[in-house]
Amino acid sequence: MDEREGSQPSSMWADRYAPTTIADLAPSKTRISQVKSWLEEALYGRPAGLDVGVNFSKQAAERVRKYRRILLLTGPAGVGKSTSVRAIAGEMGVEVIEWNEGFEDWGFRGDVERESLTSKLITFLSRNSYSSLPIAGIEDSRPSMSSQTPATGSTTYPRLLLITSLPNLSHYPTRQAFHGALLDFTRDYSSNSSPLVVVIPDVGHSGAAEEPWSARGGADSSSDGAWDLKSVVGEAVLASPAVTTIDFLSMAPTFITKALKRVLGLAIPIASDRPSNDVVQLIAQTSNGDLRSAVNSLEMLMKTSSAALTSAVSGKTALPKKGKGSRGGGKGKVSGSKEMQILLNQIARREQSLGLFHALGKVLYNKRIGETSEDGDDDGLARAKEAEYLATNPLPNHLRRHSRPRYENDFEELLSTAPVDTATFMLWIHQNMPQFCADIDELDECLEAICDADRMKTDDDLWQRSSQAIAYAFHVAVRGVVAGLPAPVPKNHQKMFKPDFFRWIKSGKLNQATLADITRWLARAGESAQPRDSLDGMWEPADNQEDVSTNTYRGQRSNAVLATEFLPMIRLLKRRGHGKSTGTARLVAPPNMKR
Amino acid sequence: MSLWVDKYRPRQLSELHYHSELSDRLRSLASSGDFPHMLVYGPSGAGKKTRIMCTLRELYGPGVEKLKIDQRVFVTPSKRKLDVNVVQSNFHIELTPSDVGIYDRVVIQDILKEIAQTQQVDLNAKQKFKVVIINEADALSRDAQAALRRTMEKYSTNIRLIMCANSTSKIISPIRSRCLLVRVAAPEEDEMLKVLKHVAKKERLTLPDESALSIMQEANGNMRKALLIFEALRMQSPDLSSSIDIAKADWETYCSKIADQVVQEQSPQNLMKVRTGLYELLSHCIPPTMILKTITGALLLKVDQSLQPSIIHWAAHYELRMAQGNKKIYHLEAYFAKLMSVLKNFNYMGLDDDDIDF
Repeated sequence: MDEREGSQPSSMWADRYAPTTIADLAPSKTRISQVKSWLEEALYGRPAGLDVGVNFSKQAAERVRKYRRILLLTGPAGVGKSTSVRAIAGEMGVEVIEWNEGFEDWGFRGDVERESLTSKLITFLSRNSYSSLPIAGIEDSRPSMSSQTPATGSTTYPRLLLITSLPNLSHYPTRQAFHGALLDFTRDYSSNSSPLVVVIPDVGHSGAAEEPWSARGGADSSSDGAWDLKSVVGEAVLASPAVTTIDFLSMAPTFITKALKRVLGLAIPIASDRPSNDVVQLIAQTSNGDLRSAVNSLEMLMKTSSAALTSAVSGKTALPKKGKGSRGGGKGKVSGSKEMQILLNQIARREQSLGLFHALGKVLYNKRIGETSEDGDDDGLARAKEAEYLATNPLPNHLRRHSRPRYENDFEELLSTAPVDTATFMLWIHQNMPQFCADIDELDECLEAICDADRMKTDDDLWQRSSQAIAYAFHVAVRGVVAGLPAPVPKNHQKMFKPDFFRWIKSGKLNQATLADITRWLARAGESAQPRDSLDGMWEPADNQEDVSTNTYRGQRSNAVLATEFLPMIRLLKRRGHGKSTGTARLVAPPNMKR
Repeated sequence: MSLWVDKYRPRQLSELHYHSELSDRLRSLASSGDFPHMLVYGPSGAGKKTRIMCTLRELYGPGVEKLKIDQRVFVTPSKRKLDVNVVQSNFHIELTPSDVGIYDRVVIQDILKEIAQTQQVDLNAKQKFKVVIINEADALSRDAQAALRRTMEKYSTNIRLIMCANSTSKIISPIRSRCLLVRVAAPEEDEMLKVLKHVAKKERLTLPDESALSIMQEANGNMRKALLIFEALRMQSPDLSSSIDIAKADWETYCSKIADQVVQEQSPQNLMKVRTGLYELLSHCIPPTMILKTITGALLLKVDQSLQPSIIHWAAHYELRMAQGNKKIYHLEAYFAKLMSVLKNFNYMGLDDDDIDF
């Protein structure tokens, strides 16, 4: 391996051995084929899966291409989003023009450097949505694919724009400019323009959450802190028919193992020098679905003394396969010997974040030292020890009723490994807590703790935000809940649910918009200049039309009054008047708003 | 056409049905030429805004009713954009600064400065000053109130403030001392009846006494609510004979259902049901304090008298926490968990004491 290093000292394994063919790509085959067919449609307008023999008119192809302008790839870091695009494009013979921070080299005029990074990105988008002039970089190998590209014309090669590093979106004008540029990009279409792929790393949840959620915490989460897809690319872009989103999932350990073995095969030609299967598997499992970091760890591991490794491995190699599902990364018990783990920790010193459900379970199952575990391995020794501890350190008499074995997990560790921020974690605990309580008193105690933590206002006030406060809130909430939960908790196959909070916040926002509509409607109905015949008969029987001309609107009403007094009544009136609508949100949208 | 509340809203001081002494006083104030800043306070639906608008008409004549509705954009120092809805005529402007939460100071300062610095344009205007109506003045932040106080002194030649609030307790004393305090009390039953009869007559309806009575009972001194219920009742049953229940606001019915659930069974599972109900209410923009108050009110009717003090104690406790906290649902739910726990322990106690029949 030393010679190889000498030949190409600059790049790391993750870059050097990045797959270049579709067959080598590690993400799941369905995602790859989704991306591939999207690219084909975007470039050639030929729907994937259409037989080669079928005649597909040029106009139809144009129409397809028009709706394949932007592809958004989302997913956690290191699952191979960018790599997949590059490899697929490479195999299809498409020129990839990539935007990155060091864009200066690409610019062709001196004054380009004067531009801000944002405006450069925008020019990049607008400039490149047109195809290159024939002079532009000619690649030698054009695969056969280009023969079936009637749309792009004979003088140009298909090209693809790729944005992997986003501009500073927390800066509001920058974000607006970026959204605007993307939106323009979806709209400007000519047969020569090339599609765009934007790679958006998922920062909303770090690795383990099962589904991405759009609203974070706080009651008014229009705040700029949360990076959901909507705020990255803008709502209008997301809603555009020309935009497709493909979500990459974090990689399962088996996939990572496979990819690691491929890299090893390339990097270390002699099989006997390669680390054992166990090591590879261990790396795969501790990597949390992040392939890049797994490859990096592997490289580091191979560069540190291989002697230490072999000794550690030979120490204890029997690998008890626990038979968890293939998606057990982070959740399943990491197998392998202690020594190996320590070694790995030294090499790849990264905090292993727990899966969300794992972390929730740690809190909600409230496991105490010496308790019988799920699998039935009764740890009698620990229990005896704990009983002894309790006997030697008794609580004072008035607190005797609180006496119980100590909590098994370390709170500090839980805090540092929690997969989501404290406020979100609290929401999850809050949602799932009641199932674990046998009695309302216990639940009351748990809720008390959550309330106390909530009062610390850690997630809404930008000015008071301090990491310490968040840690305190976490401790108050989790310790309080653990103290409040019964020990042991009743086990009746509880299922964890996603907090309802997000759903209700969403519908709350909808209703708020409705209130704004009502305000407008009431104002409209009363505004003196407004001809109001369009609203006639909407609310009253037709025989009742006296002095229509008078102005009846007398100023504003507070939202509270609208929500509690007007809205229910209007709903009643309407139910009578029209008799059809049922759902609140739809119900209150006043008719004939325009006109 | 508009709702009855809007349609039959008095437009002149002489058309008002009750508080005639107050109307006289406002009239003489308006004609004296020396109009003070005013702070109008009173319960919701008592007729504060109606009286303010009538006074304005008295001040400026019918021209003040030519309203236009605007959306203004303000920029905070931190470059955040705020949209504020503003209603204005040539002579006055009305705004609800509390809509923008903690940024209300910016809005107050900007708008007042702008208005204060422009003189009255209309040469035929009866008054030299413009009027600024500030709604929900008791929801203004301390900062905004302090800013207001300064502006009131500085620009008093050009503007007069009329503030509208539910109570004066949240308004800082410097402002209170600079204003003429006008209390608009909720109408008495006979006064409400007068209004209801008036509307019925205009609509060519006969309102049976018992219906009027139940409307008034339901409205509880809130004239606006009474008229809305009246109209809803009319829509539901044209002869106005049916029970008032069909014209009740649905969220109130919902609240009493939640109260039933709390009393019925005290268990974590039941709390989950209560939680769903609470979420439902919250998402319909019902203010959380109102939810707490309404459900507590319904609960108090269902529990033993000896429990009532502790229920009210916890209601106060959790309302405070709700104001301090961030996510209302935690505190609302914690309140009901506490109540369930209290209720449950009380019921157990009752088991060995056969005097209590519950």
